[in-house]
Amino acid sequence: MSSKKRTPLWVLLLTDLILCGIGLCVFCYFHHIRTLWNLGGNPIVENEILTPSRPTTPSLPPQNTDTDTYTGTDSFIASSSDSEQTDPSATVDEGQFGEKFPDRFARTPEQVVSSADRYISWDLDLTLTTHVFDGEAVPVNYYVMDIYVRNIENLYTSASMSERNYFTHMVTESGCVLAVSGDYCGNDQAAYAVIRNGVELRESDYVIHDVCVLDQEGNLSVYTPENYNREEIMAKNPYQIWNFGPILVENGINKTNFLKNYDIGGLNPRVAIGEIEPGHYIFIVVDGKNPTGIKLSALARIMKNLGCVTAYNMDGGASAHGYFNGTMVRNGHGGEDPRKLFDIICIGEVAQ
Amino acid sequence: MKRFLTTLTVVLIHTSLIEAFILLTLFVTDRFNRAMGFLTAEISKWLLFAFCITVILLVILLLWHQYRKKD
Repeated sequence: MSSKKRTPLWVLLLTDLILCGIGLCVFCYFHHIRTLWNLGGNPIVENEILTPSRPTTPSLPPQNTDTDTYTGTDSFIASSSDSEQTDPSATVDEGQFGEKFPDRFARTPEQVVSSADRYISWDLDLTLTTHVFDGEAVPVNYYVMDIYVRNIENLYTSASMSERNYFTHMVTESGCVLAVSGDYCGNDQAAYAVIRNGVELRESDYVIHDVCVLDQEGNLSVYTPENYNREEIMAKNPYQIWNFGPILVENGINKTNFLKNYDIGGLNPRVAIGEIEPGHYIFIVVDGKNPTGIKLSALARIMKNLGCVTAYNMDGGASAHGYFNGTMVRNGHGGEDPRKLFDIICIGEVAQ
Repeated sequence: MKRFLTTLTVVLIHTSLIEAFILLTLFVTDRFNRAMGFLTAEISKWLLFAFCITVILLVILLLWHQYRKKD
C-alpha cells in the first residue's frame, strides 16, 4: 500500500494559474519592454535626437530689387555685403516649388509678414484659420494651417527615439514657425520603420497600421499594411516615414471605413496632415477632450473639403498639439503637465 | 523509462494548460485593443508555436499510454 498522498486537484489548478500569471509577466516583459528585439525592429540610431536648429527670423529675399537677377541659395537672410557681391548675370534659384507658386512668397522685404495668423517670407507662406465643427453634440474648434513651402527642407521634424519632451520645448529647440504633433515614433509598443529628415532612425518591415511617406519631391503617399512594400518605398527616396494613421484621404477620396487595428475611433481631439499638391500642405488641429472632439470620418471629410488629395491622421487625444508663430494653438489637454512627445512636425526657415 | 514518460505527460498537460490560459488572455485583450498587437507580436507567434509543439507531444504520449493499456 502506497503512503504517498495525491496532490489535491485545486492545488494543481492553483499552481497552473500562478504559473500562467508568471507566463503573462514574461510575455509583458518581451512584448512591452523588449519590443524592438521581439518585433525585429532594427534601431539604427535609437538614441539620436534629431532637432534641427533653424533661423528664427523670416528669410528675406535678396536686397537687389530686380527679382530676375537674384542669386544664390534657396533661402537666406540677405546682407548688404552679400548683395554687393551679387553676380547680376546669375538667375534666382527659386527652389523646388518657387516657380510653381510665384505669388505666394515674399519677393521684397516689404512683403514679409509675421502676425498671429499669417507668416510670409522668402521661403514660406503660412495661414492659420479657426473654424467651428458643429456636427456633434458639443461643437469644437479646429485650426487649419495652410502651408506653402519653397523647398521640402522647410517641412521637417524634430524627433527623438528614446526621450520624450514637451511640445513647447521641441518647438523652441527647433526654431520652427509652425508645428503639430507627430506620430509618437518612440512608442515602445511599436517597432515600425522611422525616417526623419531623410535619416533612417529605425529599419523595420513590421507594419500593422497605415503608413505615410513624404518623399524628397514633396509627394505625400499612403500605404495600407497590405500594399506596404519597403523596397518600393525606399526606392522613392523617402524624406519622412510616419506610422500612425489611419489614412483619411487617398487619391482625393475621403475614407469612411478604417482598419480594425485602430482603437482611436469615437470623438477625440485630432491632428492630421494633408497634401493638396507638392509644396502645398494642410495641417489641422482639432480641439476637444474625450468625449468631445470629432470622429475620424468627419476629419477625413474636412480634409477632403479643404482640397487634400492625400491626408493622414497623426497622434491626437492628449498628444494633439499645435503652434503657430509664437502662439500655442492647442497645448495637449493643457493643465500643468501636458503629455510629453517623441516628435513634432515643423515648418520653418532653412538653416544657412 | 516508463516513469519518465509518465512524468513528462503530466508536465506537458500542465504546460499546455498554462499556454492555453495565456493565449486565451491575449485573445481577450486583443479584442479590446488591437493596436497593441497582442496576437500579432513575434513573442505571441512563438508562444503559439510552443503551444502546438506541446500539444503534439502530449497527444503522442497519450496515444502511447492508450496503446500500452490495451496491451
